[in-house]
Order: sequence, then structure tokens, then C-alpha cells
Amino acid sequence: MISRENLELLCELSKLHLSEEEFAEYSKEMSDIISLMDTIGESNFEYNPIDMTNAVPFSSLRADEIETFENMEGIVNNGPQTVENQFVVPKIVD
Amino acid sequence: MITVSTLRKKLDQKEFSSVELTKEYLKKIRENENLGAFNTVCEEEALSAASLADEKIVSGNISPLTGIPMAIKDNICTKGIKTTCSSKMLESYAPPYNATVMEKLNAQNIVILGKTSMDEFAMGGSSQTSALSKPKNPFNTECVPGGSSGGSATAVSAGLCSAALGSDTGGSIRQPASFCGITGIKPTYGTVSRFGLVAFGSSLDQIGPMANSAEDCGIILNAIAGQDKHDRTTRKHDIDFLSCMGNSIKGMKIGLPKEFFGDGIDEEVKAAVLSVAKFYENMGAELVEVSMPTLKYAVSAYYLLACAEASSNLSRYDGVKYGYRTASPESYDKLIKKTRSEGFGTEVKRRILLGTYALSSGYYDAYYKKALAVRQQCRAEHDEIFSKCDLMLTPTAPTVAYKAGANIDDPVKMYLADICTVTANIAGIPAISVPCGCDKAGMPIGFSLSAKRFDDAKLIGAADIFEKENPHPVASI
Repeated sequence: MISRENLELLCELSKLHLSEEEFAEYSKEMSDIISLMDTIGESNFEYNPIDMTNAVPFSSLRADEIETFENMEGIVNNGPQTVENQFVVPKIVD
Repeated sequence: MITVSTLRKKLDQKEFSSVELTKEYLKKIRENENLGAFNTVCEEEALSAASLADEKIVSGNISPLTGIPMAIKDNICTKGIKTTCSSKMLESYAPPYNATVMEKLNAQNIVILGKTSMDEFAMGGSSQTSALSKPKNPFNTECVPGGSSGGSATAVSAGLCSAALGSDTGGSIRQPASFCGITGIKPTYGTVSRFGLVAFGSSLDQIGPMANSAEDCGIILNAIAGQDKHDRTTRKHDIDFLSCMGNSIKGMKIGLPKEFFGDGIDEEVKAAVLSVAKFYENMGAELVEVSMPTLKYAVSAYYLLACAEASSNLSRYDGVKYGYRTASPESYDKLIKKTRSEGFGTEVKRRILLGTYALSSGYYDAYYKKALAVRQQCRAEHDEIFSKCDLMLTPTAPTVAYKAGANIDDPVKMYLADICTVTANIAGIPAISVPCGCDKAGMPIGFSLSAKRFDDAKLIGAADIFEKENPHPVASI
């Protein structure tokens, strides 16, 4: 069973808040899931960082040129809270 | 069920117009709202696009998909049309830009009928994790259509569109195609641009077609594939995905990996897929037994890699720039935490937590790095298999579609059900699912063909041979 301390740390790293009820539910489920993931430890394969067959194949880089995105209105309209083309967030510094 | 290639002929011969065809599909969508295939139906935009397509057809300026009504999975960005990922987080999000695939389809003047429902952020194999519409299987509405592209599969299978786009990170095109009796292909990684596809597992994600025939899949792939400056993983190629249509299968070697036919695969599914092997053998192919020992680690490796990538990709949902935001947050930190906790569903949170776990200090080597090692080995095994044979034949899923709610509370059971599909994503190879009859209860069974990277056309050709002799099952809706 994953410890409460561990789950709390995972929630903090994941920026998630769980209610007490969710905590109990996720503790059980995460333990079962991690048991399934543990089967990978039985494999004796070693990762070879030099073997590029594992890497995502990237094509050549495009030219590093500034392109103007025209649809500013489309961006602003999707903002949960905006003022004069700027996103509003709660006060960070007092 | 009518195919895109048939519709093309009828539109060109002026048997009906694109507007008339679009109206028919919209009528059928309204009549079958209970199937829950769509999150958004774009009636006005569809009729306007159809009218424009008709002008193109009259003027003779015709592309293979001009005037063809299609549905689009709701994780592919469509400018000005909501793209929700079936999540509360993006319920009101209307992208300010088009995905590259949409630009390419729009250049051919397709008609977008609507956005299809899916598992939330493509995380699931039943479409039941959707926070919005929950699609049903047209063959039995008590059963799931599979997932995550379940809405697209339902829409094609029920005749609510001519074809659809899906996305596939661990089987999300092929498994619902199998459950709903249609054809779906996950192209080779790097074939289709992922620009504008809402990211889940970036090293695994591919967009692909879901349709009523392998030929239709090829027609759509010809339209959407190609190198894109916005996606560095796309490869430059000039593949004609229809180039192997009509080729004989005689002399081809088809590998049957023994691990895919063992315990855990439903007996009726196994028998149906082995009968497909027999079909190809009778057509002149040679069957070869092959082995994939890494299969027993594939589900774990897939979930570790996909969730690690997802935990990073989904960190962008913070309630600041777009998407859901919690009401009256007390601080910036609480804004982010409460937004994410309220905006994401249970399965998405599970996967973010698992991915964070795999990447966290002290666990990275044991989980993430080990998963990379399995991926390396899995790719090597595929290379070995495809040095001995042209194609590999497997079941698409261990079972047929199951009842809604059956696996939703058992994530481990749900994850293990992906066993037959995840290796294609891990190895980056193409794989196609094709229907091969139904079980005793009348639910469709699908088989999968896979090939070496960028041999997608070979899959389409081989699938077409089977489809010519074995028509798809049809749902009686």
C-alpha cells in the first residue's frame, strides 16, 4: 500500500488536491497500479542511452524565425479572466 | 455501409450534392443522439462547407475528399469550434488555430459534421471516462464502443458520418474500431503531424483515420500525412498509401506471435483471428510463427512512459491561460491545485499521479528508465520479426466490447486490456484493425496487421484483400 506521506508528496508534485475520501480511494488504486508496474522490474533489460533506436526520430530543425500569430482575439477569448489582453491571476506578491 | 470512395463517385456524377449528403448525415445524427457519439455538432458550419464544396465540384476543382462529411475526434484542434477532450477542463475551449491535419483536410474542402466524444484526454479504453457525452456501441447500446476514440468509432459504425479522425497513443484508434466493426489505422510514428493534437504521450501519439474500409483509410492518410514544420517528428516521405491496393499477397510472410494467442485472449476472438490467418494462407501467404518475449512487460512499460509524458504535458492546465478555472482562489498555488483537482476526472488524476511517481527522485531508474529499456528491446524484437516476415497478425483486443461500467472501477483490469495494441506504439510501427466477423452475441471482432515502420501502404493493401472477401458487420440501428 502506498503510504499517505508518499501520496501527499505525489499530489504536491502533481499540483493536485485530494479530499479525504479521494485519498482513501487513490491509496488503494495507486497501490494496485504500482504492483502492476513493478512487473517491469522482473525484466533484465538495461537501457542503452547510446542506442538511438529508442529515441524519437527528429527531422531537421526549422529556421528559427519569428512568426506573428494573428488571432490574438482567439487567445484572449479563451482566457478564464482577462483584462486588456492580459491574463489575470490572484495576487502573488503582497 | 457506404464508403468514401463510393461517395466520391456519386458526388462527382452529381447523383446528389454535398449539401444534400450533409443534410442526410445531420438528420441521422439527430435521430441517433442517444448513441452519444458527438460532443459538438457543427450544423451551420457543415452546411456552409458543403455548399462551398459543391461549388468546387461543379467547377471541376475536386480533391479526393471534397464535399465528404467527416467527424473529428474532440482532441484535434479546430479553429473556432470547441475542442473539449471530453473534459470539464476544456469544456468551453475553442482553439484559435487549426491542427495541421485540419488545415490539410480543409484544403480538400471536407465537411466537418462535428467533434466526437472520447475518453477524457484520450485516457481510457472504453470512452466512459468522458466528462461529457458517453458514446455507446451501435451493435449493442448497453456495451461500450471502446476507446479512447469511441465517439469516432460509434459515428462511423452507425453511419453518422462517412469516416472520422481518431488518435492512437496505446490502441485508441484500433481497439474502438475492433469493438464497433470498422477499420482504423495507427500510422507509423512520424507519418502524420501531431501539431494541434492535444498532447497525451508525445512519443506515442499519432492521428489516424477510422472508416468503413481500408481503402478509405488510405484516401484519408494521403490527405493528412506529410512533413510539417510544426512537428519535428514528422518525416519527409512521398508514400502513396493506396499504392499496394490490388497487389497479391502471394509469397508474403505473415508472422503469428505466439504470445498474442495465449491465456487471456477470448476463445472466440482467437478462433476468428486464426481463421483470418487461414484466409491469407489460402490466398498464397506463408504463415510463420514468431515470438515477442517483451510482451509480458509491454503494458507496464507503456503506462509508465505514457503517464510520465502525460504528467508533464498536462501541467499546462493551470487555470491561467485557457480552460477551466476554480472560483475565487485564495492564492496562486491554490488556483492551480483547485483548478486541476476540479477540472480533471478520476482517471486523468490517476495517470498524472502515476507519471509523477515514475519520474520522481528515487523511482526514476526503477520505473521510467526500465520502461525505456523495455521500449528499446521491444523495438529490437519488432525489427527482428520484420526481418523474417512482411506482416504480423494478432487480435486487436483480447475480448469483444463489454458492458458499460464493467471495468471502470478496476484500473488494473482496464490497463491490462490494452495488451494487444500497446506494442505498436512503443515500437512506432503502423498497425491496422479490420473486422473479422462477430461473436455468438453478435459483437464485432477485429484483427490487427502490423508492419515495419513506413510500410503502412502494405497494411492497407493486405487489409483490402480481406475486406473484399469479408464485408464488415453492420449494426442494426
